[in-house]
Amino acid sequence: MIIADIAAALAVGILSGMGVGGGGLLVVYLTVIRNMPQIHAQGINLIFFICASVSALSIHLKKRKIDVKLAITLSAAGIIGSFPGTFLARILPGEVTSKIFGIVLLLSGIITLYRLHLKKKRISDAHKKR
Amino acid sequence: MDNNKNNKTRALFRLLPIIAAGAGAGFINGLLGSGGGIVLIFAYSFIVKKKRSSKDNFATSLAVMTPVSAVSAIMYYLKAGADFSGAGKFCIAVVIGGIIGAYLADRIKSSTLTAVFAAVTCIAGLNMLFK
Repeated sequence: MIIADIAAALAVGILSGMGVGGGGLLVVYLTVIRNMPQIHAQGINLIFFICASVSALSIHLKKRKIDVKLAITLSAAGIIGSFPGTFLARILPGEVTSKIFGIVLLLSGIITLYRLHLKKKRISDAHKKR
Repeated sequence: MDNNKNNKTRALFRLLPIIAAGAGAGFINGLLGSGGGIVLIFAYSFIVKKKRSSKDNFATSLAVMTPVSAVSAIMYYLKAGADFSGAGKFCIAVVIGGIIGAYLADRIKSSTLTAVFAAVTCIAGLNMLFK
């Protein structure tokens, strides 16, 4: 079981290190395969995200230009916005949160596929013009 | 006097989309334990006038969501009784995975992988919806 956990976390870490994305799938693994309650899975995902982003920022993103003023404003707003979010996460039953999570996953998957399709179309149109 | 008022109003109007984007990202992240970064990256085209590289936006969204997630994690632990006991092995695995991923990113074409990942995400979403 522990080996499966580590393998899953490794896979998700690789995907997010490549920029393909990953946190959502960790929650799916924890709830669907390990039968963890939604709130615990989401909590572990938060910790996971903090580790992933600290390592990414300190290793290969440290040369990136970050607009500090914007980042601080967004962080402050984000922290304030997080309180109603975590409150809802606490009071809503796990089944409801899990369904909302499913909808967001579905939407993000569809949007990603659509954007890839647009990108491909743009590239093939550019080729045709030649 | 009036000019001063106008400038302040304009500054507020410029600030509102930023606050809305940040609060929205924080809300989703708090509710679902994930996803704030996606909201921010989506919102960048509306709140930032100068076009910046997507890697800079990605880095900024990570930088923004880290403290937000930390606060949410604390709230989850204190108020929602979340159990972090298994988290240690995940943290180590994700850091190692991230290093491997960053190494692979320059060597593997990402669009195919992204498409596969997006398809898997859709299936996972459907699974969670209908389970």
